[in-house]
Amino acid sequence: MEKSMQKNEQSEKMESTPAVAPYMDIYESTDEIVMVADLPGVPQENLELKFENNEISIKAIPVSADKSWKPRFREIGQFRYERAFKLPSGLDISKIKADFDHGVLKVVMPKSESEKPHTIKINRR
Amino acid sequence: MFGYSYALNDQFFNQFRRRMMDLFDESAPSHLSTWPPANFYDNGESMVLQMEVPGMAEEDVNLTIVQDVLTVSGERKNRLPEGVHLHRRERPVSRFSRSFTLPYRVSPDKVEAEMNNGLLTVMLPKHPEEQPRTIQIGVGKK
Repeated sequence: MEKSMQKNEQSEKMESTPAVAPYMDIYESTDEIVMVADLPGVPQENLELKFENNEISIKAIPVSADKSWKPRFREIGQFRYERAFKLPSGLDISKIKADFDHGVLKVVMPKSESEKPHTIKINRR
Repeated sequence: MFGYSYALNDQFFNQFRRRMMDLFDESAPSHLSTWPPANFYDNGESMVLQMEVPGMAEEDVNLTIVQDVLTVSGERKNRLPEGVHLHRRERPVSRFSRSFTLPYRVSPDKVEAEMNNGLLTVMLPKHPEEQPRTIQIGVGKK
């Protein structure tokens, strides 16, 4: 009971922080779709990457500065990152790979074999 | 910059938009105007600079202090593989240089910097002469 209450407080706290969309690059080759997101200041344990109902969602909470520090100048707001995209069919979900390095998340989504272009040989009569 | 990326989106409108990603957040992020953004804090003993430098390694960022001016410069290399179809290009790619005039004299030899998950933190200890000092008040003679 107590635990669930704590959890509620935690999630309420999360909900009260405004969400912004991270800067992203998305590109596609014949074999895969790649998504790259800037998530500076996010420790890996605060990063959630989810695939559900043909949708990919990113949720991330950056670490906040030490409470005892007095802000003097602020360009980086207090927010959490959130963004989601519907995925096309024809991706091999089981082969999706993600890595997180220097605050940058990279998700590589391979296309399934049937989606890849293939050349059809034309027979000579 | 975003105009440019939208133009590219139009250009590659075909496949991706039609059959692929149906965004539920259509708007490009707009929370940053100066890149990379920075915060300054005062923790009593030090000024603290935090700057977002995602995708940059330690060797990609330079810090210099000349008198009371702190300069952070660097470059983010973000080359796309050849021959890919670009759908979104929002992540800033550039060299940057930002200078900040510090409100206190700092001890340059005691400055410490670290990078953590794409966040740069620079501790700038105030010069001893800038630290608050308690002054004993002597007993006046009549």
